[in-house]
Amino acid sequence: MRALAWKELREVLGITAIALACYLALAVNAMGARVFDWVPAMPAGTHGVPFLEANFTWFFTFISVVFAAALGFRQSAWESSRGTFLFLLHRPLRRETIFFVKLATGAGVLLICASLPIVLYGAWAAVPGHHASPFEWSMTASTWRLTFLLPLLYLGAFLSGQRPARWFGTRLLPLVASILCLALLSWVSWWWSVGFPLTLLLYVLLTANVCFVGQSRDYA
Amino acid sequence: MDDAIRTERLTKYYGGRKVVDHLDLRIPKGTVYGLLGRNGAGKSTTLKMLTGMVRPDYGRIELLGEDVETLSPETRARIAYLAEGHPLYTSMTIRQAIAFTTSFYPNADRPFVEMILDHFALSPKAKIGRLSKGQRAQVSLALALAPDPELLILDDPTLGLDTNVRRDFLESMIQIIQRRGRTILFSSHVLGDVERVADRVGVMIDGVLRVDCPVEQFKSSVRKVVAEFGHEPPEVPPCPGLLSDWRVGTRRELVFVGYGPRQRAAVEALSPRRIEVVELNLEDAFIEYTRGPRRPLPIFTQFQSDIQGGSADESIGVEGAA
Amino acid sequence: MGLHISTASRTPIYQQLAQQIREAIARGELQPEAALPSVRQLSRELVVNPNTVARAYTELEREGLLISRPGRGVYVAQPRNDLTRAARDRRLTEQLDRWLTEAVHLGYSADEVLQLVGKRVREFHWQTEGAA
Repeated sequence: MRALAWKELREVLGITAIALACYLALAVNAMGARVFDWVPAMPAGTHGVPFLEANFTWFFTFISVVFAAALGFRQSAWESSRGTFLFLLHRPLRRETIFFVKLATGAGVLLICASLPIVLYGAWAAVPGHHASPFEWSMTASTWRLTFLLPLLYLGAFLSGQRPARWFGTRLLPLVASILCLALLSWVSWWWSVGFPLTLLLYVLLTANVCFVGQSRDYA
Repeated sequence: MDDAIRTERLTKYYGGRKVVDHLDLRIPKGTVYGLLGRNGAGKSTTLKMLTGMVRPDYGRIELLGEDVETLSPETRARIAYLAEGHPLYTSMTIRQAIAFTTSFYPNADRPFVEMILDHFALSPKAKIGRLSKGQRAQVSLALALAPDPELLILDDPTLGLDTNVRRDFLESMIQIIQRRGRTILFSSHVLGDVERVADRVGVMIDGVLRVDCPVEQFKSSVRKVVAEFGHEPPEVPPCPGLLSDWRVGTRRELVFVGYGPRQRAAVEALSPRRIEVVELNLEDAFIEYTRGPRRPLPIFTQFQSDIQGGSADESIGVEGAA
Repeated sequence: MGLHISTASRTPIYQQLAQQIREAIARGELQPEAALPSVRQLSRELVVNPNTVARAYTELEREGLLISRPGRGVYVAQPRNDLTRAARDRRLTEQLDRWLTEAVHLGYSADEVLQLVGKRVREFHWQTEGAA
């Protein structure tokens, strides 16, 4: 199992490196370094309120969405198209175990990477004198919430890549549905009483579905 | 009881097409079984069903006495499966691939794998993606052998390899066979390979296992049956042993492996005007078979059938003098 | 002794091997008591299933041309002296009759057959002049 997790990590290394670079660029620029000002929509300078300024949220969401989807497809559709599922699934492990390890690795990488710019930028803003406006850690809540919702998108992408190829449109259904869920859940008002349990439920359902599809589909 | 592989009425549809049709296969332990067939005959799908990669629409499969639906990881560890084209993780180096694969098997023999790769002069630092087809096939076989499997299921392992590399691969297979008690099921499109390596041969045609016999019988019992009708020849219903069926003008040329009472009855049921049975070199029959049905230009029909008749007579002569 | 097999031939591999060993013994290329390669070795050399090689050896043992000594290997047997002259004649005549029938079917005349036999006898490498 550990070998499998290592293999997954190694395989998503490329995508992760690119995402990390983007996240770091975002954090560095938001901290006022102004190195990446040439990137469109990049938050430049320290004018706005940390984490509540539109450019930061927009840029963070954009990187995260692309990263989550790419990760999901890399771990499922790639193996499908290369035929390596035939190699992997013959290893003496239960299929649920194989898919569970894949998902846990991917989701772990996603969450850790997305947390990085928040922690970095937050820690910087928390030091007095760095930023013109006052800063409270509670201001990061909405960004954290978005981060927590990212695996939804990742699972949707994984499932889309995992389902046997039929019509392109229906194949992408899980991904589209998960984007809608993500949009809805990031706006829902009662987060702790409604949004949070609902998200957990969706995680369980999606994971179960990935395992079920992995078990029942034909690797023809 | 002591069957390594056993299937019952195994059937699979892709869309509306029956790819595998009521397959009953029994392979006793220790047998080397070669499965022959044209592309799309259902060989690959059969092997994928055996390893649980494709779920049958109905029928059941037992591998080493266990139902495949609920195959335990312990039993799976005793089975090696080489999928068609030898899929491996191309970004890994050979050393990484060995470490990754053997980590799943507590009893894996890593020095053995390294010895094999050393034999083929493969550097452990080489990336799998950079290897030639033949090298990849060898790596794939070496990895499969590491846990010392009892049953090997190989899906056209020599596909796309050139003659020399193919021979090396066959030699590796012979060495595996020499280690006692191993069962091998492999599919192939090369008749000669099957004849060299297998104890028993099966031929699949359109999803049906038409031939299933010992290898030496397979070769000496090929018959070409020419049925002359004098008018539009009727369709020949599928029949055990019927390898191919060509229409040449007003006659049908059928190739059988084993032409017994049952096959004779099937041909006679069509009430042809005349039936002629000749012995045939299997290689020729098989080349024709793998090439598919012949559709000669109408003007050449007479000419071609003359040539066919001539060569058949000649082959009888050779047989008689030998 | 150079054994070779052809998968293009109609003859099964084990029969090809048996026939080549028979011929090698008849020509004296393999002398009595000469050791044959082990099943393992030959199987690897020719890239054929060991069972096929074993089958060829078993057939030749049954014919009395080879003997296997357990634990030591397979050897060429001493020429048979156990058959009486009459028995040997009978055996050869039986085969000859079968062969002649075939010749008739193929449309050979008696003279042509004699010519053919004479030609082959001259070309065949007899083991020793005396035995011929």
